[in-house]
Amino acid sequence: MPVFYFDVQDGDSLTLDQVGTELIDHNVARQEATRALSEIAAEEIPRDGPRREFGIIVRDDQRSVVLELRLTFHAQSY
Amino acid sequence: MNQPLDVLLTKLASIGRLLPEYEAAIHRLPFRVVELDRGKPAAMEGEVVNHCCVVLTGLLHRQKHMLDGNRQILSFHPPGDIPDLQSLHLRKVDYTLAANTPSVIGLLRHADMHAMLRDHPGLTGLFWRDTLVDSARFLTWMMMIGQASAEARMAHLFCEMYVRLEAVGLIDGRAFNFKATQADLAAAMGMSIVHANRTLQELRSTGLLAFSNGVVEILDWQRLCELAQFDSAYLHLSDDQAGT
Repeated sequence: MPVFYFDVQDGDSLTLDQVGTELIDHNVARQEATRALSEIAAEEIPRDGPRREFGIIVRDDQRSVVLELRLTFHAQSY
Repeated sequence: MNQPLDVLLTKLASIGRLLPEYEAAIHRLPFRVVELDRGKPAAMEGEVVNHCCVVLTGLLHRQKHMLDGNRQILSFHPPGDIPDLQSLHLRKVDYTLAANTPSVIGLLRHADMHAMLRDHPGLTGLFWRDTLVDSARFLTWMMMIGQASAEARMAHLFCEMYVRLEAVGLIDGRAFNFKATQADLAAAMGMSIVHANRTLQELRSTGLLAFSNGVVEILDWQRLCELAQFDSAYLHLSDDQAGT
């Protein structure tokens, strides 16, 4: 099975995936990344700040980027 | 003398009073040894069984699937556990029991178990206690799945595994074997693999534990327990075997 790498961005910090995960194909990698992004945001958003930006960069086993996901949270009081 | 079911005796002694007559009765219990490759089921969801399995070596887990294929690992079972003890009374199993790593189990026929319990009624209390502790683990685990942060939830799993393995003498220093895959860990956490990996990486990079080549080593027990809000009381271990 091909290996995919999922780098996670939280604001300015980027955590590189050094280990990778074997997944059946690009489709499954996209589903995993989507699920992961929403889970990570659900954990992190309540913790701090009126503005948060999250992203996941998916790379293939050649380390080429195959997918980029972004999520922005913004809270504005009036 | 070392007998194959000794690990079961050690486990039972850790959660209650194991009288010499109970020990003798369990030593007389017939059992059939079965080797399971990783992933091989010991009992399939929906099956009606006429035996229980005692884990002799390795690690088993219980799991269920949603219709869309998503898998949840409900619990892990180290040596000494009888993961399907409840099947003695609930003969149609509502989970799949499978080897998480190559394992050896002993099959205990229900008929033989019932006969033993008729001859030694006090043993019923001890086995009942074992199933109750199994339930108690799920109460705490529900709390962790419902309310805990990802790091706390994962830390809790490792704390619990440590204490359960320590109770049956399978801790080496501060380390234990745990050959669950990324996918297994994610399935146990109820998370995506990517999130589970990231959470594990968090526990490693903050110096709480090391995990490589299927071996977990607890580096900072106190801080790991604090993060997990872990209190071993729910495991109901007798004579305080919990913690390091």
